[in-house]
Amino acid sequence: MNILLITLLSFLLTSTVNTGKISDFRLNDLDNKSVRYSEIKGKKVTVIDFWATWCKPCLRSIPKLVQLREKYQAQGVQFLGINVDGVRNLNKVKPMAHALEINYPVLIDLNNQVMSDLKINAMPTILVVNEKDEIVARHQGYRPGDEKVLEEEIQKLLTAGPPDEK
Amino acid sequence: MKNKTPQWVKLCVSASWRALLLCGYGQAAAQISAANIIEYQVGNLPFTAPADATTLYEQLLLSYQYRGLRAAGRFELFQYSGAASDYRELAQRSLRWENEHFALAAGNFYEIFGRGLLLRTYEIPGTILEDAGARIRYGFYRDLDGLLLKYRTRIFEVKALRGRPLFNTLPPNFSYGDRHPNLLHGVEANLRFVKDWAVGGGYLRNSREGEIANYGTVFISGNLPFSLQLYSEFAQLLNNDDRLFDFSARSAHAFYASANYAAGPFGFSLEAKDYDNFVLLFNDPPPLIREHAYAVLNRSTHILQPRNETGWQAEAFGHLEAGHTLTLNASRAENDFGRGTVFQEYFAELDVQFNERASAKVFLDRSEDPFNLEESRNAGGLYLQNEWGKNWGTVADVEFQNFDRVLRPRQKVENYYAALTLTRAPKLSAGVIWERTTDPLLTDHPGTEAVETRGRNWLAGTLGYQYSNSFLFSLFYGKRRGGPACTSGICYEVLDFEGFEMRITSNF
Repeated sequence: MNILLITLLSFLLTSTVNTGKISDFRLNDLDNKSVRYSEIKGKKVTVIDFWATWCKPCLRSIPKLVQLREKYQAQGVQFLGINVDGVRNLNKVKPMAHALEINYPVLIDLNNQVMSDLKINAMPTILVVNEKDEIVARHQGYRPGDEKVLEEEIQKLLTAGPPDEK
Repeated sequence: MKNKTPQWVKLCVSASWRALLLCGYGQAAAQISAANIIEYQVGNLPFTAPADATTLYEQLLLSYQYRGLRAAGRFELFQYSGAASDYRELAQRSLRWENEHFALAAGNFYEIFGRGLLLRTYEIPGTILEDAGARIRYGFYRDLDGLLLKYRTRIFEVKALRGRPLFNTLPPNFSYGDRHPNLLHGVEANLRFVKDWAVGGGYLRNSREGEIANYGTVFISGNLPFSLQLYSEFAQLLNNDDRLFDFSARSAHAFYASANYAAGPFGFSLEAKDYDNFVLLFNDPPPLIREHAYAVLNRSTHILQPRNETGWQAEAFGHLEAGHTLTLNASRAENDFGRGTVFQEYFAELDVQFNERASAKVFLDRSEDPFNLEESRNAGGLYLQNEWGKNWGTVADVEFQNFDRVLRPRQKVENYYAALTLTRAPKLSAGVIWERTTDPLLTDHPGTEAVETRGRNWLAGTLGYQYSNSFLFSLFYGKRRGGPACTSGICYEVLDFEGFEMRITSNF
């Protein structure tokens, strides 16, 4: 019975609340420098991509994110990659990020603490975050065409203005 | 369920949870969030009765956050229509507080020393482990249960911990003591002493059944000009009279070194390892074998043997004109357990971008795996992706592998994998997966006296539907091929399954 209740509750809640909030976190970047989320987040919108080098859909989605970043960077939209490879593939992350021409900051979540805190359970997961650090969209996996939906969500946040003004 | 969590931890975490829920609920800045996975199966392992057994697994993660304070719990539940392996437990509970410089955690937490030669805990989100013996399913993580204290600045970090690592090979129906046989005390510090160089070191003491083992670790990392990065780490058992930095086969040690280099659209990675007598039973050090996403290759991975292994891995990437990408990888692992074995793998992948909406990946792989009695292992495959219409897309994945199993008589094995997925972004995906093998270890029906050698097939359909940003349905119907699998560098065993499976994932 408790399963049914939880399922029903989560179903109802999904239509009325957002899916969480980003609490400031600190991770190392590709040059092993300690960086806080609050220092690099976007002025208006932040798109956070959880990815790994072994994840095929992740590598498919990254060039699309690079294009979107070029298009919206000047409008206060920041993209942020959080790599969750762990130690097995860590040495490949920086050269692969270069090869993929990732033009936004990439942070290393070495023991998956941030991934765990944000309850990420699929790769890739792309979060769209507003200026109040609220997660307004959560994309699990990557399907061709998902980037169009992502772009619509970015545009929606940019045109809507600050959350308080809604 | 036999949970023997230390009483002081229970009291501390329980009292904190109640206080937080009572006092903090009305705080505007406080946040309660949750994630839930429910997976329901009707079916069973192949060749196992009844064929329509039912299992229900649920994992609920709850967290409460108020400024730097965070309380979290993981509830797990499993019900099985067959044997009495049901359980329902509070699998994790934690309280964490942090500010700009300090962090304090009590209860269950994740931590790593260096790059994990000595200590690395982890969680593989969304993955459910299954124990064939007891037919029981549970979350996939290895955490520490205890206390953690950290202090950090931009150039310096020190952490001290006391905790019991989860021995996750045993499922939750074992006692707390059986699943937490080790007690660790450790301290680690690292310092960025000049702009691009950092050094660190640590000490770890493990108590297990009255025996104590002391370990030390040191590591150094540096960013050199021209985008060259170096890292090296060494860990050693300090209990005996061996000299420090003893690389001989007599000492218990682990060594890891890496270099990576990025030059324009090209990237290079080189890693080396040397393990001897380094079986800790509470850690999985990095194996330095490529982790593949392709089905036939992911299953054929080499599992690190920390009792005795040396080797290296090299990888090169090139992001060519027009968006094409070339990846080359070579790796080698040598083991010596009376007879020497050498694992070798060579992998090449070309990713071709035809246009904005169509791309293909082709790969070739050649490996020798005498440790698993597999020789002349060849694999190849093609991965096609195409977008059409406004939001439609198709993904086709075709893979083939063959090898010789060195038994008498010698066995020729062929594996096939094909998957076709139709997607409609962002809501829908539907697919068909087919696998086939001629492996005599899998084609034989264990319930008959005859040895069946005809090829064995697995056919399944999948459906994924994202109802909203926080609600995802996944359906599976058919036969799933099991075997070894690796995710985020951690390898585990997936069991075969035949039947219907439904997963509901939600975040709120």
